[in-house]
Amino acid sequence: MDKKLGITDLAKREERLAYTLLIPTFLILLIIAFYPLGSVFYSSLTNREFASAEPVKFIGLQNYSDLLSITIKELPPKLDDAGQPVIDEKTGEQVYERSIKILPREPRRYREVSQFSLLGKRYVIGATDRDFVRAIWDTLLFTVISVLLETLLGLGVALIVNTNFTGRGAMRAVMLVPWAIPTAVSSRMWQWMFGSTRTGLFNVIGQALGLSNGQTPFLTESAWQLPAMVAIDVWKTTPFMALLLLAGLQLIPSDLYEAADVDGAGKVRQFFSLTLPLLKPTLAVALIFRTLDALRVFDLFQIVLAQKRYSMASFTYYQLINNREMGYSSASSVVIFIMIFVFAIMYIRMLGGVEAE
Amino acid sequence: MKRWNLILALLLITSMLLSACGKPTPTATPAPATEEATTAPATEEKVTVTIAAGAVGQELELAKAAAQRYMDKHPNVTVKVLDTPDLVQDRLGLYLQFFQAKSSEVDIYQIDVIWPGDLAEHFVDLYQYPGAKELAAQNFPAIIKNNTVDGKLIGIPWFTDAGLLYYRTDLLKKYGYDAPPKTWDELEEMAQKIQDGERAAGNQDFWGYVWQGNAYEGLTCDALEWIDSNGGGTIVSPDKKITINNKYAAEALDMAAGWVGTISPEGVLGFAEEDARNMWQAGNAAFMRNWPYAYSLGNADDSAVKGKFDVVPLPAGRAGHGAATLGGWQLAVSKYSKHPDVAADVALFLASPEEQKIRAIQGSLNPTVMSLYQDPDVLKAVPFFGSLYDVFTNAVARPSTATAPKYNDVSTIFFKGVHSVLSGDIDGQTAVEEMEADLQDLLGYESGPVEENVEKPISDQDVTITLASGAVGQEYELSVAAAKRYMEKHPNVHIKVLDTPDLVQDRLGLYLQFFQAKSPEVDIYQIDVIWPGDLAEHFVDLYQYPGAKELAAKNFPAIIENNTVDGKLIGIPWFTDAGLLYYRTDLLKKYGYDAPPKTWDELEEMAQKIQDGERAAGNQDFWGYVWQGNAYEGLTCDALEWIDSNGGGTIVSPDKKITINNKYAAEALDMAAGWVGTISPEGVLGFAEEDARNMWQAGNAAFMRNWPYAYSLGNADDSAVKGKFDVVPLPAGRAGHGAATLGGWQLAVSKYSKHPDVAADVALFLASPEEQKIRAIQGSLNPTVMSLYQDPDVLKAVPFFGSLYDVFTNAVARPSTATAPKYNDVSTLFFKAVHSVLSGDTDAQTAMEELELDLQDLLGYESATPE
Repeated sequence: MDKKLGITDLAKREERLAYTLLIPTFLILLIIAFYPLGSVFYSSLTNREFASAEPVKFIGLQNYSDLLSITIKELPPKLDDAGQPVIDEKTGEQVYERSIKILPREPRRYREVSQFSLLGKRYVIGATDRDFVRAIWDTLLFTVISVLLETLLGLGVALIVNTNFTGRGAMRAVMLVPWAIPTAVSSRMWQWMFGSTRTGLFNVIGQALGLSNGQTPFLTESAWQLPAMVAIDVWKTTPFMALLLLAGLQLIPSDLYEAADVDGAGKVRQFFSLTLPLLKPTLAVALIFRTLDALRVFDLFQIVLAQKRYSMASFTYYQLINNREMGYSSASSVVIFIMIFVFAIMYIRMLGGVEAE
Repeated sequence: MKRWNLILALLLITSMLLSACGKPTPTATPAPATEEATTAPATEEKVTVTIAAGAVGQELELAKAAAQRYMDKHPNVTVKVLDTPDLVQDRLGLYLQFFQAKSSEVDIYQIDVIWPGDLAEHFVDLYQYPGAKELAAQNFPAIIKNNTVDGKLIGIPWFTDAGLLYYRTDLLKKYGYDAPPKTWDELEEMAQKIQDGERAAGNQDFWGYVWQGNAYEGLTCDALEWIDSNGGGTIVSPDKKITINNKYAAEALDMAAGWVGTISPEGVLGFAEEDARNMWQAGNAAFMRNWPYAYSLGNADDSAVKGKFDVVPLPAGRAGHGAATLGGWQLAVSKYSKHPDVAADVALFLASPEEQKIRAIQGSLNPTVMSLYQDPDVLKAVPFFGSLYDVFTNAVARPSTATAPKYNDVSTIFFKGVHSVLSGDIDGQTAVEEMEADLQDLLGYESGPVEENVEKPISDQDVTITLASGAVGQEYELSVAAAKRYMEKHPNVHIKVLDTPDLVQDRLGLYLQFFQAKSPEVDIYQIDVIWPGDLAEHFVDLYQYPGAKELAAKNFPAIIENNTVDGKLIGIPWFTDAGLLYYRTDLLKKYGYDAPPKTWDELEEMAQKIQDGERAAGNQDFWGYVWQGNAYEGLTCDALEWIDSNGGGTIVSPDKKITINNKYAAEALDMAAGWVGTISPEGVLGFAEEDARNMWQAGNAAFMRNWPYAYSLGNADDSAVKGKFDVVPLPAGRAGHGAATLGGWQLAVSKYSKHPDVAADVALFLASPEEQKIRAIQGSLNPTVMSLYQDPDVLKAVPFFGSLYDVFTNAVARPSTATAPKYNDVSTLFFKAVHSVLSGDTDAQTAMEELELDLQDLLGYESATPE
């Protein structure tokens, strides 16, 4: 009993020591993380203007409701003077009432984000800040697709450079080149390649292959914008993914594969039964890195698409810098922060599960 | 676990060792006065401590007396006082020899106020000895700070100093002056008069003013006072800019040089403190610049001036106030001492309030202990100390921190330069220029302007001005060339031209970041025609600077009005802009047109025909019409032209009505949307000015909408369209006349600039008719000065300017005034809406309806139909 007590005492003392030694870290965190975060959070509750001496007013959660309010309304069919539904002469389809007449205007105006049909009825999605809602959607789409592609391609590259072949070292170095180029530079580079006329590489190739007339505006046509963004990001960050996964692959002992060979497992079986499960922890870490990065994507969108289409971060930038809405942009920053936080927790749960296995 | 225990143990041992250090053995710590009986040394060991003390005036005697008092209390300690040279430099040289040899011969050094930084490595931290913290707390904090290097107390302040003017009360009265001189000019005049009178009365050795003119640290102090009191700065500013090369410094030195041989003896160039005092105390000078120590000596029984003088702060120069160099001495304990603990105790004893009081009364040496300035005994003995308290707190420090560890070299360069001016070898201006060059080599610092502590601004001192300039086309090169012309005229002003982003929105973003930080980094901003209302709070009123009113009167009144906010001139117009139609004369001829298009319909038809023809002829990259379609401010300009030329108004009317939701506006937008993919590339939706120009200049477009700047670039040698194009006003829509959006840029001076006066002068120079003419000829940038549109040289270089005069006077302004301060939001909503129409995401009517509602929400204005 006494002995046990002694150990607890020691443990307590050690705990105390541990806390004492952690104090500097907490202090630094407080200064460089919590203070700025706190001040952003505070200004998100105000109508503060950037670079101005205008008095600041506390407005509660107004900014958040302006950013995030969404509504769905049914669009009634358009009726002509006789009360009969109007049919489009060209397409022969039902014409619906214009959303601007349906969406509420008081106390806040909702703008149309998109329309969809369900069970023969037409609905419109409205949002008080259409741009931000679109930015959230675009950023999520961008994140999911680009991270998925990067993971698959990165795994492929990692598996290749993990095998033995002459020039493997050089190959591993070459593989990292896109990652080493600053995003601002690679964005510009790709912007030129995506040029809207035959000054752009892809238009030249497209025309040579007979796929287009050589005048495809990749960066201005909305259908092409996100694929272009994903392409640039995948090109740039696949090496990073590959590097992380390569490190994971090298941790797998080779005798496992020898044993599998002896047992007669094929390469495919080996991959799914050995490599993939053993790579899972590394994969999870790599996914966290990339997902959080992709959710914060700014430079790519700001440089290539500017105000044509926003990511969440570039939306925030333009609200702050152009419209000088410091309070509003702080609120959108907080939204980004919370979303990233949620993703991080989800991943940590997943990772925790992996460790338990 | 084990590792933690180990660390814990180590920490314990360390702390024990540290506390052991903190408690020296009783032998080593004879404690302060009251306890002397009980703290007799435990060991009978005899300890000798040597002090290297100054010997100026009574210093040596006072130090010896104090040492005796210490020895009386501590019989086993012998304190020897070493006499050191009077000249500060010589004293430093002596000390350095001791340090070089790591000699333990001297235990305590009396060090100058400028040395702690340089010599810190040779001294112990006094804070580790008992009583030091308490004593330090009683001193002027500024002086303690000066003695603190990396948290260590290098020296304990012993006495402090500041330059003072000594004057003969009896002589002033005799020659009819009832107050001491307030300025150097008054001093000069009085000194001359008294000197002449005294010499006539028979004293041939009499001089008006004596001071320290030898080439040594003392001259640095004297000269710094002349220069700083004249607004010439402190050689190197606290933020590490070399400021010595300015005309006020040169002026001050020339003034002092004028004294030599007139009111001051030629021999003053060899005078140190004691030489001046000797002459003064013998009654042979009317005025003297010296430190406080001379006061009690002057009142000694053997003094010829006893009771006949007083002291005041030094006279003022152009700066309007006098300046007193801060001096003073500290006691520091050598690291090489054999008994640092005993030495520290001696030092703390000598610097204690009790001892400082004795020195103040007997030696008129200024205490560093604040409370002594209210001590009745002290004030009785040296009445002028009371008023010196303020002199000390306002004294000027030598740049020893800004130049550490090279202060000594700096000072040497300085006093050598000053000395050569005083001896007439060179003039003040040459000297300060040479000093500047030497200091740059030595320190590697940049030169900077003198901090303004003078009432009136100066426009031609040493100043760096940063101009945030555009870089579209030739703008940047032109700005650099103009800056160079200014610098040639004003050698003291250096202009840096900062390259800013091409996209207007990006440029605004950059500026706002500067404003948010209230950054003085940029002095002059090139601002867009739509910004004066929004950004007015960050700029100065240019009307308050000379020449602004006259220049403004020469500009187009509409542009000046646009720059005037609440009666203040926020920006001075630099160049103006209006949208123009560029067309290929050769292609029009080739396809059978003899005149450029007058309407949008004509343009469409011609563009289509030429495009088809050129593509058939093999140029697959050819397009009919290029313009600015990216989602940015440029699209606002282009779309406003379509809409206004079609009678659709200007988004928001000048009387604050929202007019955008009308069928002519929608019609115009539908028309433009129809161009995309037919006569204009789909990529035009990502085009800014330079994208359009690049395509046009490569010969791949028949028509282009752009600003005037593209004219001279299109005629450059590397242009494929050189000599093959011309410009006309933009085509008309339903309104029957074309519309050109008014653009243009102004120069505004930041409120946060350190030198708004100089910056304003630069801005007014850049915007002057002469400079605008050069920009017009070389860069085809439209002048804002009306007369230049009739200037033959301009019209020869850019013939189309003549016809532009009308375009400008009839141009359509963006609704920046009617919507201020929200124009940016308005424009963003507008170009986003237009962009969605052009890209086919929405139809024009819906977009305009939504825009109307958005604008109502944003501005709270009512809607109306355009005029």
